[in-house]
Amino acid sequence: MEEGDIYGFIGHNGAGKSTTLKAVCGVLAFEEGEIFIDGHSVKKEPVFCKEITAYIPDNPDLYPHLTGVQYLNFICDIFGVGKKERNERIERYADLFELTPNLSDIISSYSHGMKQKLAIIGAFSHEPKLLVMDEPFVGLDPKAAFSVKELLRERCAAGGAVFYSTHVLEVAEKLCNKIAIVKGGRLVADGETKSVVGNESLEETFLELYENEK
Amino acid sequence: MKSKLAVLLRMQFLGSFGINKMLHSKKKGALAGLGFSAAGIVLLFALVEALICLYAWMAAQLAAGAMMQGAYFPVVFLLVALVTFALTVANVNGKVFGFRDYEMTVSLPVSTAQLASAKILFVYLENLAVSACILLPFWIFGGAMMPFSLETHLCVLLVLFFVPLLPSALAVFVGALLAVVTARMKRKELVQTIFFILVIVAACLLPVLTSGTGDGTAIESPLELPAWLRAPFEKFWAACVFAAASAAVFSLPCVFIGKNFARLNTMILTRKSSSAYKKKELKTSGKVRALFRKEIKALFSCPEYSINALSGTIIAVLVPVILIVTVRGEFSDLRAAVFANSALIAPYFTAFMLFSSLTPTTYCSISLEGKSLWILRSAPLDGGQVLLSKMLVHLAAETLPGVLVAAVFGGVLGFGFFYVLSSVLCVAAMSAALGGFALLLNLRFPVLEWEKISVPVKQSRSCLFSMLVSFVGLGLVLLIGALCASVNAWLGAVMMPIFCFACLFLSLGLLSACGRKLYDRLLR
Repeated sequence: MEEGDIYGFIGHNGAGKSTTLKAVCGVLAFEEGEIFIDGHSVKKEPVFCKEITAYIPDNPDLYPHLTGVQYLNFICDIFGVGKKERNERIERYADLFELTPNLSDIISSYSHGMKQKLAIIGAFSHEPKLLVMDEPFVGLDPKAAFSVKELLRERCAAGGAVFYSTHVLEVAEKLCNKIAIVKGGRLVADGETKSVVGNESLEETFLELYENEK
Repeated sequence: MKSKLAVLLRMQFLGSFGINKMLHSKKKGALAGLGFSAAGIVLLFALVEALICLYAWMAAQLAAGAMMQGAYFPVVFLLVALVTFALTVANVNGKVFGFRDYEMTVSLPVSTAQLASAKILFVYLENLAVSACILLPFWIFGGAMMPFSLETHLCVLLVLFFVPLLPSALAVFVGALLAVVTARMKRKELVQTIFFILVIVAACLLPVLTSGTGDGTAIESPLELPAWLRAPFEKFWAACVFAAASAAVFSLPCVFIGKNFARLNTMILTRKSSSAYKKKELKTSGKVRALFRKEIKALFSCPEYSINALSGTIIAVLVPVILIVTVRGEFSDLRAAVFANSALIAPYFTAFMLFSSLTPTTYCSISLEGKSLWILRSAPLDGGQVLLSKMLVHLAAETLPGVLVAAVFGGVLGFGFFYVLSSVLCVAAMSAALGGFALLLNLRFPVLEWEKISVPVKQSRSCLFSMLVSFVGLGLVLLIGALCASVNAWLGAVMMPIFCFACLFLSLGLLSACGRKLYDRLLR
């Protein structure tokens, strides 16, 4: 992956998408191979790699006993975001996702979508170079999903990169400039979206590859 | 065909202790782990039961010596009922109400009366097991040391089965009321925690505070009980009346909650706190401080965890207060006696002060991260920083109060400076060491996939082994202190801190050698 890439990771259930994403952001340890972020090894320099990475899981299990703003403040403390920047960013993203009125509420009272929005705000609050997202659009309302896509493009335009898994092939086809299709823990196709898809739709390509690999 | 009530009860049993999960686990050595846990439970049970037997023996001897035969069983049963109530009221929410699988359960073709009955009956059965474990040794020792009639023994047998009914019913009512009242509160968990701590404190203090006359002087015989309280243990017909009355009272929450089960649960589960967010400047802090704040909030926002972890601290603080309140006028005599026998009493005092760390806060602090562990794992944090923050919480919540209480009460009770210093050093070092061991055990036996918080807090191997380690550590401090003091007055006061610091170095050494590795292995 390079700067400015939005890289879609596609595969059937149990193909190894989430495991790969977790290994990239240091949530899961791996025994073979290497992962480099910005030229740094995830194995040898995990803390440095995590400082420039943000991870959003498919099921945002956040600290239920904290309020939304306490969670965001905690994330900013851990990632060393300055006072001025954190105030500006939290205000901007919370307004964008219409979560500002709920920031004082306890996270356990949030719906799935609200938790997802909070996790996204937390991820954007420290402006990571690499965003690793597992099914980021699940549970989001259409407006929030649109906002996320806009923010991803904005992040990439600013020199960042996005690596995300999805089952929504239509969105992946439109949003990603690169895609990879994974099956049984190994890549069966990857590269520029246009070159992988060719004249077919991503859905047709995926189904074709899936059948051929059986 | 099995009755629906029996099926519901069976489901609760299987889910309660994680046995079903372990039996069907695909992980290697799951059955061996089950056996290992069972052995641990038996050992811990034996230790706790031995402690209860010791207290029972002392109480029976005291009652026999003071000719208080008539008050023995009523007082013991009353105290057990109080303890049962205090412990149950904290567990009702989440067990009878607001449980995780509420929606699935209530969608089943089972009447809400049966659902509520199954839940409340399970609470009673748990309380019956706890009551029996406490009361049987008291019954045996009491029977051996005092000439009770056959009728009294029959009464005790009957009352034993019915005595948990009343506290269970009352706890369900109070728990339900508290859950409904606090449902809309933003800090409902904190409010509930404070309430439960106050209930425990009241349960501890009530027998002492009510043992005096109105003018503040101690009455001659505080155990002269009214006839209606003694009757169920003296007359079989009175025991039968007590049993029938208890059963009638117990049926009330079953009927009331059965009728209002859906309404109550809806109120508890769907009422959400809402408070307007006011934009304000957010303060910055360092990584360890941010982690520490998060851990402290976690401790006080989960009533089950905070009560489990802090009950030892509460007891360590309360018992000296109770002692001082109880002796009142004879305090100077007590002080003189303690000062004269400091060498012999100091080990017991120190071991008792270590009650503050019987369940270190670290014993499940890793497990409590649960499915949220991804936040710490994906954050730019060194494993050492995470472990340090968890240790700091234990030091602040258990070691520091233990040290302060040892220093203050050691001085007030009349221990000499040397013994107070020894006690303070022992509590500081041993408490920190136990916190470290508990953290290691939790790293070794983490439970990260849980739905009910009682699984990591009460039913995990790290909880079991941490308590075992604490019991053994506390026992060794007492043994070393008592043995050395019997040889030389100062030897005990010197050897105890040396042993405690040796434990601390071992604990910190193991933590620095294996702690990070174990932390990195989580989620592998």
